[in-house]
Amino acid sequence: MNNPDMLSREMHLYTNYLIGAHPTQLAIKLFAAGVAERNLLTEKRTIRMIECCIKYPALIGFFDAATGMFERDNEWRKRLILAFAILETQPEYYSLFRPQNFSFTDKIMLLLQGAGSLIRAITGKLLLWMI
Amino acid sequence: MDDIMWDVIVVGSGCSGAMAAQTLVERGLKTLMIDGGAKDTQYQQLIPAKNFLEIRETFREQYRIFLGDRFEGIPFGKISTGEHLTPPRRFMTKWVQEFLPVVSDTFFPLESLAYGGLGNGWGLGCCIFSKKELQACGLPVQAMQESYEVVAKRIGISGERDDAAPYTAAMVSSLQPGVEMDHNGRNLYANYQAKKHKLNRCGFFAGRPSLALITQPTPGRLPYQYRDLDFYCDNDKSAYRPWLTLDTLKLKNNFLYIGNQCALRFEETSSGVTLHALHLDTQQPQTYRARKLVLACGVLGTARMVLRSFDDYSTRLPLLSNPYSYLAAIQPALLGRDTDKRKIGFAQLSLFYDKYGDQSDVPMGSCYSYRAMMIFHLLKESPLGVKTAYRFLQFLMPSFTIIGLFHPEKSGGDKWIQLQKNTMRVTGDELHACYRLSDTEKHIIRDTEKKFSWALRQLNCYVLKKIDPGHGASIHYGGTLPFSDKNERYRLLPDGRLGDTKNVYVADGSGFRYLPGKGITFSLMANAHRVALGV
Repeated sequence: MNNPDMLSREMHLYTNYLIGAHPTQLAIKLFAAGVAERNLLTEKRTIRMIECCIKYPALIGFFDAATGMFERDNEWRKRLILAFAILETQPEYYSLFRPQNFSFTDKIMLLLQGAGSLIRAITGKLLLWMI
Repeated sequence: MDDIMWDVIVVGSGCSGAMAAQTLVERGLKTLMIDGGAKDTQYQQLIPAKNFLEIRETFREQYRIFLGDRFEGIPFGKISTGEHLTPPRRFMTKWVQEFLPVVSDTFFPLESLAYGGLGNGWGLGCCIFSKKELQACGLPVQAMQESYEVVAKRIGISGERDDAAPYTAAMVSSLQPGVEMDHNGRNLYANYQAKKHKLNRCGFFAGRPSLALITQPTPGRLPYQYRDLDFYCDNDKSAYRPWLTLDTLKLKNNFLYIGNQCALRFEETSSGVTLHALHLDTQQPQTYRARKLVLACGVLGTARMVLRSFDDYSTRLPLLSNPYSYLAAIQPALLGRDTDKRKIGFAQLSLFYDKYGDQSDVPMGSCYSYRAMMIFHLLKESPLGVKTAYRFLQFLMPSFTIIGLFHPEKSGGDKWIQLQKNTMRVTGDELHACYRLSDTEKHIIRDTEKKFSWALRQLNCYVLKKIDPGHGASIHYGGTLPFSDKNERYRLLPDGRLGDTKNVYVADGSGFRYLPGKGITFSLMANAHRVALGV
C-alpha cells in the first residue's frame, strides 16, 4: 500500500476531495515522505480504508466525517491531515487557503456543509463498522 | 583550558545566564560560560526576509519551514508542553531527552541545551513584580527595582502606559512605543475601552503588554517589521534573544564561551570551585576551575547539579510551576473577514485580574491572534471531517483569540523533584518529578478561569474551549532552592549564594518562593543581574 504508485493514487484522491485539484509532483513526493517519516501505516484497517477509497472515491467524505466525529486518532485520518498540511504549504494552492472574506452565500453554504457533515458522519460510522 | 583559573564560570546561556554574564563581564571579571549550545543549522538560513503572506504565496520551500524536514511540525498526538514550537524552533530541545531526562506522569517540563536556552522561544512578555510579589518571592525590593531598569535598557522594551501598566513593565524609564495591534487586538481593546469601568470594578484591567521587542532603531537590530514570523525566526533581531547578548560578549577579551557541554557537578576546593562537565558529542569528561561559580542552567538543571554535587539521591526538593491553560475564543464581529497583512505574532493585549486590588496573586491572560500557525495545526482538534473543518476554520480564524492564562503559584499540594540513580542514563541519573495540585488550588484555578471567561464575554469574546496542556507547560519553574536568611543546604541566601557553600551562586529562578501569575522572565533577568553584582 505504501509503494509509490499507490501513494500517488491516494494523494490524487485526497487532493481532488479536499480542494478539487490535481496534486503537484512535489506534493506527491512529500506525501510519500511524510507517510514514511511519521509511520502512518501500521494498522490493517487503514489499508482496508485506503482500498475502499481507491475503489469507491465517494466514500472518502463519509470516512472523513466519521473519523472526525468519532475517531480523531484514526490513522487514515492522520494521512488525510498530512495530505492537507502538504497542500496548505504549496504556493500553487495558496488562494484556496488564504484568509478571505466570506459572503452571505458562503456562510449559508458553510452551514449546509456542517449539517451535511453530521449525516455523513453517522453514515460513515456504519460503513467503518463494516470494513 | 583545564589549567586556567577563571574569576567566574557561568553555567547556562538562557536569559538568566546571559544577563549574569553581561554584568560580570562589565565588572571586568574574567568570565567563562559553559553551555549546551545547540543551534539551528537547518532552517534559519532558509527563511526569506518577507512577511508571512508573501512567503505563503511565493516561496516554494515553505513546506520545510511549516512542516519541517521530518514532518515534525504536524501535530498528531495530545497537546503537550512545547507543542507550540515550530520546526525552526525545535533545536531548543536538542540533546534534552538524552542528557536531561525527567521521569514523571504528572509533570512535563520543557528544558533546553540551546545557545540562548529557553530564551529562544520566549514570548517576550515583560512584567515587573509588585512590592508584595517581590517580598513573597523572597527578593529584595529596592535592588530588584534598580535591576529592572538596567535590564530594560539592555534588552529594549516596548509598551504603553495604559491600565495594564502597573502590572507590566511599562513604567521603566527606557520604554519604547508599543507595537501596533492587528484587527483582533484592536477590536478587543475597543471593547475594553467601552466597558472598562464595569471590568475595573470587578478587578479586571487590560492593556498593551510590555514586550522585549524594539520599535525604534537600535545598533545591530531593526525595529519590529510586522512580518508575523515570530514563531519561526528572529532575522530582524527586533525580538530580544539571549544570543544577542552572547554574540556581543564574545567580542570582549574577558569572556569565553564554550559550547557542547553538559555541566554535571561542582566541587569546592581551597582555591575556588571545580566544575565537571561532559562533552555532548564525545561524552568525554571535562573540568574547569574558577574562583566562583554561577549556576543559571534553569531551575531543574540547577537542582540536578546541586543534588549531584552533594551526592544526594534521596532528598526531595520543593517545586513551583505556574499552572497554565489556553482559552480558545472567538470574536463574532470578526468572523469570516480578511486579516491584516501587517501582523504581530506576539501577545497583543494583556488582561489582569487583581481581585484583591493590591497587586498580589494577580493571574494574567495574554491574548494572541491566530494565523501563522496555519489551519492544519487545528484540524486534529476539530470534531468535523477535514474538508468541512478546513472551511469552518478558514471562517473562524480571523476571529480566533487565544488566551494563555498564567495562574500564581505558591507552595502547596504535592510537588517535588528528586534525583535518582540510573546507570542506563548518560549522566548516571534521572530527575523524578511529581506535581499534584491540592483541591483548594484546583478550585481557585477553575474559579479564575470562569472569571476570565466572564471578562472576555464582556469584551464580546466567547470562549469555545479550554485546553489544558498539562503541568509544566507554563515553562515557569521555581522554588527548588528557596531564598532564606539561614546558611543551610538547599537554600539560597539573599545574595544568591547557595547555602552550605562558599563560592557557588544561583542566578536563575530556583530561589523564588512564589511565582506570580505573570511573565517571570524579566524578573529572572533582573535577579540574575542583581546576583551577578554581588558575586
